[in-house]
Amino acid sequence: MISSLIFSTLLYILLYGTIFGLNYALLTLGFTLVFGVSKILNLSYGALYMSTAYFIYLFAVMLSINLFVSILIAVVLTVAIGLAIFMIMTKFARDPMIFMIAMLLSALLLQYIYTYFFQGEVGLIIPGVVSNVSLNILGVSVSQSYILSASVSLILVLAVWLWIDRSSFGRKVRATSEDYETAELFGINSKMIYLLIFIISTAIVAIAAVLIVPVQVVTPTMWVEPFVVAFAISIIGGLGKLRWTIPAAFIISFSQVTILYLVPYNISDITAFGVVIIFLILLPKGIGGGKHELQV
Amino acid sequence: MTILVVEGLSKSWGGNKAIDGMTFSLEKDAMALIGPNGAGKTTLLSSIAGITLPDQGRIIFDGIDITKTKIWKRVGLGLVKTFQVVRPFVSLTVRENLELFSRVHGGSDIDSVLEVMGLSQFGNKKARELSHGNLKRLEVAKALMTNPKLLLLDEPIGGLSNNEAVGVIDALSSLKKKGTKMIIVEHRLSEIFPFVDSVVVMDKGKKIFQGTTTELFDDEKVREAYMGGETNVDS
Amino acid sequence: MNYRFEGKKWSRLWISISVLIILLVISYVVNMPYFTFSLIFALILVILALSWDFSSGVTGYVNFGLPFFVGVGAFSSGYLYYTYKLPVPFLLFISFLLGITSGFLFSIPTLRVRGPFFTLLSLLLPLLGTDFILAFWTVLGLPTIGYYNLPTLSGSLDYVLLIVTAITAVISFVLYWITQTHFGLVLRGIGDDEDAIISNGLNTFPYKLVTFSLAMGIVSLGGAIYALFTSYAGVDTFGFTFLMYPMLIAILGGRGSIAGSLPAGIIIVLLSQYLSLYIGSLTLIIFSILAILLLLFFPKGLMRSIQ
Repeated sequence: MISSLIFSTLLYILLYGTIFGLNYALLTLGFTLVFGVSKILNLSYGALYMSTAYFIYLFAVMLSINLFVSILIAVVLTVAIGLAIFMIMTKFARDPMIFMIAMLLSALLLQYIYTYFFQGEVGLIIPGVVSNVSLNILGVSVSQSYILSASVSLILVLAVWLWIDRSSFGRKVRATSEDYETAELFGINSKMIYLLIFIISTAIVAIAAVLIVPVQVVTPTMWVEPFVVAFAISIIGGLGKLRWTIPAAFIISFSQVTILYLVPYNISDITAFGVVIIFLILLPKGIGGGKHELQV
Repeated sequence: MTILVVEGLSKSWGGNKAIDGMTFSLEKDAMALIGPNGAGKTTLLSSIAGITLPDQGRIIFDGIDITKTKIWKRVGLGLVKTFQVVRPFVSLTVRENLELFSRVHGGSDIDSVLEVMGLSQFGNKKARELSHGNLKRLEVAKALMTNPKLLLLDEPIGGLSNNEAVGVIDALSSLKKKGTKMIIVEHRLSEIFPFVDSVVVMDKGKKIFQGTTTELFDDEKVREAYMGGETNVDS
Repeated sequence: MNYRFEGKKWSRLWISISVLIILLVISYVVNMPYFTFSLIFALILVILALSWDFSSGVTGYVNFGLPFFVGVGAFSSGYLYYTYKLPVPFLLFISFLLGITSGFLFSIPTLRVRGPFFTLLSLLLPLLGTDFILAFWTVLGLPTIGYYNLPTLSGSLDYVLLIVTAITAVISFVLYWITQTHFGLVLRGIGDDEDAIISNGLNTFPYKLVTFSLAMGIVSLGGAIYALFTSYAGVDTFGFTFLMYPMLIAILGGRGSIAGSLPAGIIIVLLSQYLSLYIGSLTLIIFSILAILLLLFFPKGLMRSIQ
């Protein structure tokens, strides 16, 4: 009797740890990619995730447009907003301090806009690509959405990693991240690379929102969680180090799931924070160590 | 007693050995560390100063093993390095730049440091208003504020006009007379050779020569590494 | 040593303090509660701005953690009042000490890292502040909705204004004085080029630690004043208003100047209070847009940019 309880507990931790870990890796990918290449901290990252969710609500629920069309429009609009913020900030911000503060303010601006136009703090529900029916895996129930998002995450993370590691475009990206001046001497348009990487990063976070938000609720402060997760993982893995994204994501997800099982309060964000602090004291440069360039 | 002993020091960057089993000791007062570009001179200097940590080997300063000591603690022991690219605190005046360090490790007298480095008349000027030559002097002056026993100078006259260079060298000579030991990395050999007592030549991370300047020009290996094949073709 | 204490440098602080006194007089003369109220609110934000400017503005370590420490001050004064019925001066003093302690605990691990890493970690604090308090308070079995009916700083608004003005003046004076000492010189050096300081033999860590602990103590004090002023301490004290305004005030007042925060704070807060009378709930949106534009186009502060 007791051994079966232990078994189901372990299975629960293993299953949810893996699913959350993969989702987290996808959430982190875009954030860490931009930092690795351009040393830019995209503080509006979480707000872009939230934007996709509100756009899907607007088109699919309020205007009753076909779900897949809505998702497509939402992703495109999110990329457009992200790009607008990025271009305004890089053009006009005079120094890194102003840049970071203005970036954070634009995230807050999006929060205030959505609060104003979408029924305040009320939680909204958006439809998912697959139904929300749960599957039973050896006695642990898991939502179909989670399984889909975890699988897509795994594929996307590996695809981006391979692409940066193997393709000729990836080589250009790595050269730019190491030393953009030298890269330009070899005929690489580093501005174009930054822009492309930013677009890819925004598209990744939009896709993450499409996959993950249907099992959550949409609120104007929902940007906090993906944001906390993304930077907790990037700090543990070492900002900009793609290779360490999945291991770092698993460290966070498994500690969260375990603590969730042990403690009756929802303190998963605090858990992430605690893990980050412990890692900072033990390994200030992240588990990857070394310099903070885009390392695959 | 030799003030600095370096034993079997190695450091690699991404597979390339920047320093490869470097061993030398500082015998006399002023030593030049020379070698072709990429020979590992700056890496060696940074390792001694504690800015980069070596992979292998030991550094003994004044009888103490400092291989893993923190940078600011090394400065407390009397070892300080200047930067090749000058790094003044631009929003502060020259005097404030020095005063920053006046309470560290006993500290030197600001006015005498200003005078030694020939910066007396610029004391109340903002660092960003100084000429490049004076910034190079300020860089050395900042290091002097810590009462160093050994000064590591990374290209102290690099990028200066001849007149400016002479000024800096004069200041360094008067320091040397006061008993400060120094290691100088510099490309402008003709200007520093009259002033140094010994030379270490590095190539590809290894020491290929140590001796006096006169011995240097007789050494076959040095000529080959340093001047390469080109001089032979010319002559 | 005394060349830095020449009159010219101190004159800027005296201008600020005169502005404060003039406003005090105006507030007594016009005798409009709303104006006095706005002024008190402005001064509380100026206190936060002063401490942000003193720590982040001077050293360049961008700290997004302010709302958390405002919350520490507000909640601790609420808790202490309800549990021990302490008088107001004690509440303020203990909040200040608790702010220093929590700032110290936060700084030890985070100030080891530089630039973006520090900023990210500091941003986690206000984002998680609510979670922290809720979890912590639930574990202790305390009310999570916050504390109502706290003792106001005492009776009349005018009296409150006088006290807050005095506190603001003392804080401005102390922080400005620190920036003019050797300690302040090191802080400015850290803002310029920290590596150059370390490699010249100065361990910057204790300087940063003292600075950020003191600054967060002052922020907590500001939080306690706010709680006692509104007689309420709740989760919403962690809001980003307490980050957005102080940063904007400190930057538009001239980064690292300390003296500029007071006039900038009064202008910005009175302006936004006035705006909110007309556009109501749109204020936050309009104000954030305005804030972004001001930051992008007046990054050196209003006075220096206009010159």
